[in-house]
Amino acid sequence: MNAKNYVYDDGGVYIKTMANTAEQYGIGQYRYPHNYELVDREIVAVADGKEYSLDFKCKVNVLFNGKLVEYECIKCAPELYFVRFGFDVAVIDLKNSAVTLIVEGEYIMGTIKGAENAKAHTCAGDEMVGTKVRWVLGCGRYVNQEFVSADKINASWAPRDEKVAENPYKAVKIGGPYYLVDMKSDILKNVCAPFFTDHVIMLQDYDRCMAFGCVFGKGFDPIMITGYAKFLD
Amino acid sequence: MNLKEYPRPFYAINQFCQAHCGELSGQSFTFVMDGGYDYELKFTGEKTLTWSIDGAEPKEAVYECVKGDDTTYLVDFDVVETLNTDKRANDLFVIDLAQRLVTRVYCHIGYNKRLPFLVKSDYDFGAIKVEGKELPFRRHCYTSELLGTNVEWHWNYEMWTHHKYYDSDYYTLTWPDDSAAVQNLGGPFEMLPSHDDVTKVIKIKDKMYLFCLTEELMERVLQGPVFRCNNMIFLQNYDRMYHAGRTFGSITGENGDVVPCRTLFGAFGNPIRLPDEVLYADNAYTV
Repeated sequence: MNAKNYVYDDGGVYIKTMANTAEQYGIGQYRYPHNYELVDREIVAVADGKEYSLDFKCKVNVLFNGKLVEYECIKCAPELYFVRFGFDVAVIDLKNSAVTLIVEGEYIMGTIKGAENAKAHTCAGDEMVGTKVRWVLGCGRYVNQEFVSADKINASWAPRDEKVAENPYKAVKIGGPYYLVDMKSDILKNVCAPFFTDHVIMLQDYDRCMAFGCVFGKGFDPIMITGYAKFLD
Repeated sequence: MNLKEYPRPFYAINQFCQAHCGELSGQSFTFVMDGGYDYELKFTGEKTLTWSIDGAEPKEAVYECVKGDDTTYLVDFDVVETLNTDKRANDLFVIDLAQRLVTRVYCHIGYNKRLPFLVKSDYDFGAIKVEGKELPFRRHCYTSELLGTNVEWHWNYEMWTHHKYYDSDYYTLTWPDDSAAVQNLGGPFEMLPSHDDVTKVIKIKDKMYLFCLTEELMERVLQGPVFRCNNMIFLQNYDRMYHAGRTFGSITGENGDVVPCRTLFGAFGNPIRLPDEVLYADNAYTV
């Protein structure tokens, strides 16, 4: 018998384990490292004849239409980025030369200025209906989403799987396996998400079965998230 | 549409891997290595670089890059002139910008006459030279700090495995019955006397380790039929509980021939209480 755990455990010696649940990060535990590829780049999106400029000045700040805002960026796939700037969101899709912005709740689906063959993202409609998925965001922390119609999700948060709420959502089809899902939330109690969570925006990848996004609400800073899928059916 | 049915390809360990990171593009580094030979790495593009040892003529390569955290990069590339030979080689660097430290792992196959697909790994530690600054004297280092850690790694949406880190030189791989690992890994492993293999563990910083395993014992016993010897290097972040890494080695192809195996991978972790029969199992390969 040479398994060292046995010897130490038998002697009652405490063995440090590096595996931990990282309570300090909450639902942000699995957030992937920030990505800085957009630094020193300016992305100008055009939608309905209006221009929207994201000028990434450094690893921390972006100039959005002339206003300096703090941002975080996660690279979701080759040429696909999820950006939270202030309390707003951008999905920058360099492959299709498209940008979707959610600014103060308004959806702006544009194309990158000057790009050839650019194709703006579109509303997903009822494409996701029938999907039942759990997004695991940390150890024992997850959100269950059942897409029941084009604008309603039955959702619950760990550990209260039984506490299902019908939440409104909007989804944007990014193309291929990617959907941008913006789910509103009721006040949450005794779950892994913060109490005053009011909406969750996730770029969901049904090929890689991962999601990248941000949780917003009153009384806390936006929480960037990364998670993996477990299908519930 | 139930997007569970999205027509995705089969993923084994690479479904949750990070997208390639190209943010080092345009940067150049000089690594002052304890092995005595300085190393120049110049990222010429999002996927291309040149490398040079000890001032020699730079050589080109196509690299992969993933991140352990915001400032720690795992970069690797195959040595071009060894491709399509029986002596392939791969160079891997952990570039730690926060501490200005670097670890190099040079892996190569074809050195063992009896077992030509075994992967050998050579390790070297160093510091990143920056004009006007003293070189740090600290280094990434071999460590026993992982001992006692048991962790469940989720590799794809239906496969998770358990790692038991019980010795500085060996680890154990198992999986629960409800994991797709039963189908994906099970058969060949049932032919092994135990699920242990050879490792090295390097501390990068607090809560971040470079876990290097080589499927050497499996190769010595089985030499097929599916898995051949692979070196897998995991940059493990125990703060966030995920890892990113790469494989270098060989696998049995569809025609039964041995073909190169190279992939990036990634997984999300959970603490796990292992069953006693795993926790207290013998390593059948050691005296």
